[in-house]
Amino acid sequence: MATLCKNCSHALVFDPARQKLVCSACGSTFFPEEVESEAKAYREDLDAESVNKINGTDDKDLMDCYVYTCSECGGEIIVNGTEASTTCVYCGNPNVVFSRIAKQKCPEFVLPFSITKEKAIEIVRDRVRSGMFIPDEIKDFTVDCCRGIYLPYWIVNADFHDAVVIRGEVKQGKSSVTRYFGRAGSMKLKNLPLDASRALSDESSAKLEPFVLKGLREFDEDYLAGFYSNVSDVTYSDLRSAAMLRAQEFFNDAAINDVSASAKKVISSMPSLKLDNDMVYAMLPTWFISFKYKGKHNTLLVNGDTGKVVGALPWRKALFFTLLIGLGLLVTVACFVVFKATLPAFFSGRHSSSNSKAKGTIIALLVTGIITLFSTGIRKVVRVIKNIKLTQDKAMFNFMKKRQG
Amino acid sequence: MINIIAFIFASGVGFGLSCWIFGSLLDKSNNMGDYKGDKYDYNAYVNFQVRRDRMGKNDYSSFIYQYGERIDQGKAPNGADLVRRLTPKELKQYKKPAPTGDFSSEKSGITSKKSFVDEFAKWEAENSSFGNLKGVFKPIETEDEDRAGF
Repeated sequence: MATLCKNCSHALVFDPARQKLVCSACGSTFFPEEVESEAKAYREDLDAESVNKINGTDDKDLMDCYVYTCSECGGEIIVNGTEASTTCVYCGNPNVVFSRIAKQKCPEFVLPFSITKEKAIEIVRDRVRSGMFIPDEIKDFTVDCCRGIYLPYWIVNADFHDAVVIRGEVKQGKSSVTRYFGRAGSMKLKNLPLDASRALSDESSAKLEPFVLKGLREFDEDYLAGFYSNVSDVTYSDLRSAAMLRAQEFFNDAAINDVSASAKKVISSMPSLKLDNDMVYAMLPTWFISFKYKGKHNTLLVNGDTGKVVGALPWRKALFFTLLIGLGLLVTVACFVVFKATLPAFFSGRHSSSNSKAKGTIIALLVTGIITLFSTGIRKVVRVIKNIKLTQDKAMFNFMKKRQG
Repeated sequence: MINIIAFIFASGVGFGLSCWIFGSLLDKSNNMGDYKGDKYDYNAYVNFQVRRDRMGKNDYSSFIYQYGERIDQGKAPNGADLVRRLTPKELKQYKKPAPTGDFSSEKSGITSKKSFVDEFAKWEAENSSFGNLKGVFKPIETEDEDRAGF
């Protein structure tokens, strides 16, 4: 299953730094396209045995697990139903698994890793060290597990049409009134990558974007050597839903920007989307880096091509609230002094109707400003907390961790 | 009384401003890569065909039904099927409806559109304990067709 070196028959591994297959024994390098390997033909004829069959059990947890034999050492390789490449737990050699990547399931393109494991960890460390509210233990984190995984994506083109109604506030004289705006239009999405792995949340995978698709190369399984990979396991319905969600985000954003009003919100819509059936199946690279903090696994993702780091980390709550309350008290005292000095004059002025309206406007602006400050700040904190939950998500950790090697 | 009003406004401004500042700092410090691909990456330019700015509250449902089009889904694969690469022959069939406009598998020549689920069931049924996977998947036809689109 491993592609072997022509010079010494040692297993080759793809090196992102050199973009070549490298033999760690003799140092020979080869371009993946150049390697004519018997292993490629052999992979299509590999035999698989289900774990349940071997054990004589009917365990539902093992229903999707299959056993292969390592071509190097003869050890058992256990993969789940969607894994396409893995590492032998006994000899450490890379193994590309069977006909999962043959024929119909074969991706057309692969975006090879251009960031090495060491570089990915360094990028994460640099980013984490600069975080003001990141605990010191995390700044010096010890990597629990780091895996390069090729994620399956369908790169789609789609036609989208929508009619939306937007509610917004418009100024009319000195007051504002609620207005309704209608927008109907269409757009064409081109080369939108959609995650084709059910095990990984769409939210996490979408944040790995953008991928520089110009770097896609014709698929060759030798690019998978030394990395893990999964094959597509989504249905057309899953893909349409994911494309629809993304298209609606783009459309609603454009429609809202097209309306001149404040406090705008889409209140009704009728979207329709058609996927081009001629989709492109590609494998895109991601590093999964996990570490433990206070008994919880945190898994950060790094785009294996651009180096974009995705994830949110636990925060120093004591420091955050101390600073927040401290600054809050300082500004409160300063504002109190100012208000105390100005409010008597503000309220004791002449009581003409125009004067009262001006005062009312100032008070309304002040109250609106206070509400906006609170809501914006709280929204940002809530967003961080939500993303921390995603980083500590057990499903994502298991997706990365529950692999051999 | 003035003191109470001054205190209420002052604490609102003070803690509101502090909440906004530290909320933003926390977001910048601990939240990484929290954005998706931009619409320009995917050529997602909206062409608005209808703009209506003065609508009554009761008009908007009629607007939706009047201008909300249902795009013809064409001959798309079944939603429950696992996504897979379609053969050039299948692609042609999905793109071009039958002359009568009444697409059906019999007319198009597709007798059984296979998904991975189907194929796996077949594999389970046909293969013995060693599970030979060879030949389970339909071979892709070799018609040259530029499918990449890049």
